[in-house]
Amino acid sequence: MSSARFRINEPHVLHQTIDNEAVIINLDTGNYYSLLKSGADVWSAVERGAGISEIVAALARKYKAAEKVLEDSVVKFVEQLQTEGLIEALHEANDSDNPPTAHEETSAAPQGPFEPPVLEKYEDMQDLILLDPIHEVDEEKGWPHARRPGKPDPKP
Amino acid sequence: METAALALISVIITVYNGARYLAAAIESVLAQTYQPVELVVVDDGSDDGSEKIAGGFLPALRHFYYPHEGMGGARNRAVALAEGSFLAFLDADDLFPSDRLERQMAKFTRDPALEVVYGHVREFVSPDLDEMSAKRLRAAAKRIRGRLPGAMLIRREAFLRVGLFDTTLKVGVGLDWAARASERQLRNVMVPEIVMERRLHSDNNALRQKESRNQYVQVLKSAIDRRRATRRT
Repeated sequence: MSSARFRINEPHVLHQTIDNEAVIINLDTGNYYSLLKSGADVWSAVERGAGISEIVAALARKYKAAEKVLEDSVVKFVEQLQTEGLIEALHEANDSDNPPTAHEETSAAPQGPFEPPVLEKYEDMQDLILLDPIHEVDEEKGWPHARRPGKPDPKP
Repeated sequence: METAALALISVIITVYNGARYLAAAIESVLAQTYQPVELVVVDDGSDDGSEKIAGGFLPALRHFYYPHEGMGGARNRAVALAEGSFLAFLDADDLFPSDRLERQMAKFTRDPALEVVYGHVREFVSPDLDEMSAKRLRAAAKRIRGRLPGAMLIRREAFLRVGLFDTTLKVGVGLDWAARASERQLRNVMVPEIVMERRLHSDNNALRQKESRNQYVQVLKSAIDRRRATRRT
C-alpha cells in the first residue's frame, strides 16, 4: 500500500472541524466544502499526517467494511481532495521516518456501516470569498486592511 | 414645473484607526455626480487622528465618534443614524468612482422593483507604498463581481429585511452579511461598471491569526447550515 503522506494546502486553505463536520475553504478559488462522517474522518487523519494505509486503518476501526473497499474509497477521495487543491502529496517518506500517527481516539466505538466519503462542494460565494479574506479587520492595527498575498488572480 | 425630488442616498463610512486613507475615501463620496447624498462617518474609537480628519470636512458630512466596538457594531450604528432611503457602504481605505451612485441609481429608476444594485470592484496597489511592500501585493488583473456591502446600493427596507451586521465577528463581517442577503434572493442587478476601487496596502493579514481563521470558517459553516435547513423545509 502506498505510504504517501499529505499536507493540507495551508495557508491557501482554511479549515476547521465543528461538530464532526470539516468545513474547508479554498481561498484561491473561493470554493468551500463540507465533509461529514467518513469524509471528516479522512480529513482529520490527513491533518494528523497519516498516509493512505493509516487512513484506511483509522476507518477500519470505526466502520464495518472490507479493507479493499475502504482502501479504494480513500484513494479515490484523497485524489479528489488533491484535485480541488485542498491537500497535496508530500514526497515519499523515508522508511526511517516515524509515522506521526496512531495518536487518534482509541475509544472502542461500535463499528457502524461504511458510507464512502462525500465531498460537498459549494461554489456560490466565489466572488465574495475571493474579495473578502484579504480585506480584513485587525483589532491591533485598525481596520480595514487590505492585502492580497501572492496568489493567483481570481478567475473572471 | 417642479421636478420630483430625488431619493436621498446615505453613504456610510466606518473607520477605526484608518487616518491614512480616510480623506481620500471621504473626498470620493463628496465628488459623486449623483445628489442628494448624505455622508455618515462613524468613528469606532480611533486614536490615530481619524477623528480630526473627518471633522475637518464638516459640515459636508455627519460625523459621530463612539467607543470602540468593532466593524459590525459601528456599521449598525451608522445604519440607525442614516436618513436616506438608500444605503451604500464604503470602507475608509477604498474609493468610489465619481459616477458610481448615479449609475446604480439609474437602474432603480428604470426598474423600481429592484431592491439592490451591485457592481464590479477593481483593486489597486496603494501608490504610497514603498517598493518592498508593493511587491508583496498583487491586485487582481480583472475586475471582480462585487456582492459585498462595499459594492452595493440597497434600499433601506431591503437591507433591514436581511438584517444588521453581525457584531460578534472580527473577520468575515461583509461575507456573513452577503451570504444572508443571497439567501433572501433580493431582486437585484449587477452593473458592468466599476463601483468600488479597493486599495491594497497592508502587509498585515488578519487571517494569519488562528482565531480569525476559525471565525471565517464558522461564517461559512453557518451558511452551509442555513442552506441545509432551507432544503429540508
